[in-house]
Amino acid sequence: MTLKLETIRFDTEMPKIPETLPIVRCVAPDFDARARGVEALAERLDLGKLSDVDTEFGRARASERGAVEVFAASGAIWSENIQHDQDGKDEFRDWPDLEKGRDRDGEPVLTLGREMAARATDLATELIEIGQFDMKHALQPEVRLTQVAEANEKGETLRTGAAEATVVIGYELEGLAVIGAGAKTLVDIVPGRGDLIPTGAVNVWRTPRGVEKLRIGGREAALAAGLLEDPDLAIAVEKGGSITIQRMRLGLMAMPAAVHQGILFPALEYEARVDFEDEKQGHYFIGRVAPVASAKAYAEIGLGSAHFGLGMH
Amino acid sequence: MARRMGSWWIKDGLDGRRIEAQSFASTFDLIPGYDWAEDHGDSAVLEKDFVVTANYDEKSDNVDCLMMSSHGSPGSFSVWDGTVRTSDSIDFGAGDLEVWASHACQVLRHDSNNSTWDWIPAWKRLHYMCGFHTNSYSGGGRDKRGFWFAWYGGVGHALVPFFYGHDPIRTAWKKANRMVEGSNVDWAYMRASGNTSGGTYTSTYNEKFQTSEPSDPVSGRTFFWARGTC
Repeated sequence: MTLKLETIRFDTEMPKIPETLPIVRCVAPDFDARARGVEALAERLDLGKLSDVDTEFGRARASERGAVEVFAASGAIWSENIQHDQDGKDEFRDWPDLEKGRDRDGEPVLTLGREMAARATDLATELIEIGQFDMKHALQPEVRLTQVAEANEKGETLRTGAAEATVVIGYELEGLAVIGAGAKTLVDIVPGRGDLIPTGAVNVWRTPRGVEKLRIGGREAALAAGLLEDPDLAIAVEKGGSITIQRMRLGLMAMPAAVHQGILFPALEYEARVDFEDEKQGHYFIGRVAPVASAKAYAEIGLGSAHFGLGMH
Repeated sequence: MARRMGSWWIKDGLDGRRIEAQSFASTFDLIPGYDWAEDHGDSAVLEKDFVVTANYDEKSDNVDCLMMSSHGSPGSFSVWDGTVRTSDSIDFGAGDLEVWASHACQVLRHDSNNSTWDWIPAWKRLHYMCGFHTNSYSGGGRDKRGFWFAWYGGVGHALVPFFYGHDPIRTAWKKANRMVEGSNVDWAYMRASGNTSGGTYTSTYNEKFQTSEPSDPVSGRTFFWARGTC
């Protein structure tokens, strides 16, 4: 079933989609290219005596305290000291400088105070430098706290607080956000005695190698190639649901660390609410990514990939 | 007796959702001590397998741990024949169930308009609910979510002993979702700690998937919720 655009309500602005969009060829750095950064991260994370490990997905330098793993498919680094994760009796960490802030939905959350947030960002920068992460296309860092709460059996909140802090950095290429699990740097941090302790760093980023143009044909053609063929939305409509798109952005799709990918390609990422008149069904939410070009459009410029369809087959 | 793992999935046109749930149970099935005991897809995902129904044994309580793919909203998740809500009669853990996990959007949303504590009456002897505060996504490599949950939850450690960590359930959930989602998504979980039927305090903070039956918190419980960045 092909959806009609007029059956979908938009509570968000639809991004402009031009006649052509970039695709970006990329390569995965190999272990040797990552080796110096791997050793430096292992030392900074205090992993102790290291062993070489062939993992299911690449290679790691590992100890009983943790590991720095390089994923062969993407060149991603995934490092952690696991000791800190199991410290303490529960999730609550003793942060000295918590403030009230707002999340992206405008809801109240705890954040680090300005000075502590600056220290966390500085620490993340240190790990990024010693890990030799490629940040040429990185966005500004953002410090986020893991929010935690405890309640009694009656559902009365006993306390709220924070677990680890994460410095989050996304990426942008050719004026587009790079979306998905394959474009991020994360540095996890916990408070120590008067100091901040890094507990891990994740860097998933394939090295860009060149840009080409893909003919999209504008907004209507882009929607016809993906969103309007989305089986998830179509089934919701067939069941009598009404669809409201609440968030939408156009970006370049980057697949997870364990997936080989040689081409970052344009995709639409959207979140929708589906409402049913039938009270038994109520409403639910959907998060989806969809292609903006057909396999034929890629074939016309000599490209093919199992990823281009984003699971819609 | 081996631990029993289960998968429940509604594809809604996307086969990756089947793979997502099944790969949790099938990956645990690779190692000794775990069996893939229940697998229910599409029209076989029934409300009565989660909600207490007269003269019927809920199949979700035939397993120790389950992973599910369907839709969700704060305090509810979809099944083929309707929706399971916090207001329903639910006794998770009355039989075996210790860990319920799903990618369904916002099931564990906790904010000024929605309370994740609404799930508390559903916890008979349950240890963990693993879900999301925000929406999660389907497509773009998310079909391996269940695999990664099992991998970090003990399968990797079993296959590469000494060097591959065996993470607590909460950490395995976080890492699995970091592996497949962008950082615009927030994972979440709820867990219960409290006294066993024998009166001993048991904490689920560092509880791992393991081949032996863990102690169940049943009284004097407190409930913990966490939400963090993928």
